[in-house]
Amino acid sequence: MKSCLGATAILGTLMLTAVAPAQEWRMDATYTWATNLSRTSYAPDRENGALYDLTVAGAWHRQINADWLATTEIDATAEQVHPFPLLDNNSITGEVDLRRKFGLGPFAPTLTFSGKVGYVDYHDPDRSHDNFQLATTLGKRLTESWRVSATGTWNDERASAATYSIRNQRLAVETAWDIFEGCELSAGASRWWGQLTANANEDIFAQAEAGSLGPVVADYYRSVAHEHSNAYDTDWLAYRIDCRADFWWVGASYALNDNTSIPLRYESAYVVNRAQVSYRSEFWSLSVVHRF
Amino acid sequence: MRRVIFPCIAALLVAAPACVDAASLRATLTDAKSKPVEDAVVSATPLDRAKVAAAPLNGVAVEQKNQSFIPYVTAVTVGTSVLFPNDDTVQHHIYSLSKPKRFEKPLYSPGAREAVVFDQPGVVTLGCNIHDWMIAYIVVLETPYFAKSGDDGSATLSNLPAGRYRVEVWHPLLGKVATREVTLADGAAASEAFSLALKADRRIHRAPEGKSSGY
Repeated sequence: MKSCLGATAILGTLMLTAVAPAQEWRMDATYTWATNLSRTSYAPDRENGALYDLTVAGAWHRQINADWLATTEIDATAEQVHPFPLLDNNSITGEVDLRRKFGLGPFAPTLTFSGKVGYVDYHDPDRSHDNFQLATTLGKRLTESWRVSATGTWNDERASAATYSIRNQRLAVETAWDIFEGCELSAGASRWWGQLTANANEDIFAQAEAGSLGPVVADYYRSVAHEHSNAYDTDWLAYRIDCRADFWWVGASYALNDNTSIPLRYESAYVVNRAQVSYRSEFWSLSVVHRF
Repeated sequence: MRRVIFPCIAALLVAAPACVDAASLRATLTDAKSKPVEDAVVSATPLDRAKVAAAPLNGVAVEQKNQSFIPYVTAVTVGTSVLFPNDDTVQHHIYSLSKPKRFEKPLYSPGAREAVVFDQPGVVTLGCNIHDWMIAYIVVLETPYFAKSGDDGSATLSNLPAGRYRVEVWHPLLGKVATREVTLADGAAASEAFSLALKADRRIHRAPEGKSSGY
């Protein structure tokens, strides 16, 4: 039923794009090396992994009037996660952006409202979910080579299992600087509030429930939604946490030409749950992005 | 007889200036590294006689294709009507905030072909309010004597009557117009070399960007 919601929304988006006149296609191949991909607090158990992503996206732009631009995008991604095949997934997302530009020229500030609906189909069916996202971005170019933006996002993922049904809110700031022709540096930070799904060895989780980390942690871990998961090993479980997460990232993108670039990105995540148990994850990614 | 001779003399007097050999001026433009400078506009304004009225040009167009303006630099005379054909597959929103000609054309869909008359001299910067990296220049001149440099960095001005001229060189990356006074003799094929101190080309980044980790 939930996947029907995503499919209906995507079909609606496709119908909308059929009547829009403009189009742009893009392909993105990304390799990511993730440390603590498993989002595990207990350091000795943390699992690293490699993610291989291939995304094809089509975008349609339509100017509504002199100030407003509508963009509709369909995005299909296939992701392989090594060595954790249960995390392999395919996803499809439909997105509509409405951008208001306050004036003429590249330095005019912009306000963008985005709505995104998607479905992620995991090899582990319990993790499959519909995804709904609303975002608002305020952007401003300060010089030809320097721009800044701030984004607020509300994110809702609805899976059949409570462990994987999460909702969170995010605030992010980002800046990008073209250091010379064809080379761009970017950096950003964001804070998330809400829910995430973490993973642990069942023995470690049981010890936490039994009070090995104190009564506060024990009470909290007894209260969270959790279920057995074979994604990382046979004696693991996934559990949903209420948390605060801090992300920061830096990136460098080299443009081979006007339509192809090679972005390299480092991203760090630090997550603290309500019982003050934390973990850190890091992501190194290298992409080839081509616009047709 | 007298009736025949007088009109003939008058006709010869009128025709005399046209019989004088026109001069030409070849400007060679290089940057600080001695590389040829393309897309510079070289113009010559007479100093020792009245300004020559420059007729508007015909058939000038600035095309939008592959989300770029083509050509990057266009030189026209005052009063020229420039056509803006959208030969792209996407909408554009052409605009100019430049003093000599302010205008905008929103909702400019593929196939649109509207013209704008540039009736004041000066440099007009064109942009697209949808695709911020799109930029082009229209240099509107009062003199009929001008040329744009090609990829070899040369621009040749021809049919110049003899006399003194103020020669100006404009380029998008040149902070200040380069000016020089030149005197041309009848039928001369003069040449002038300009070494231009160009600023760094800081155009808006166009290439696609990557995405976040998808946490």
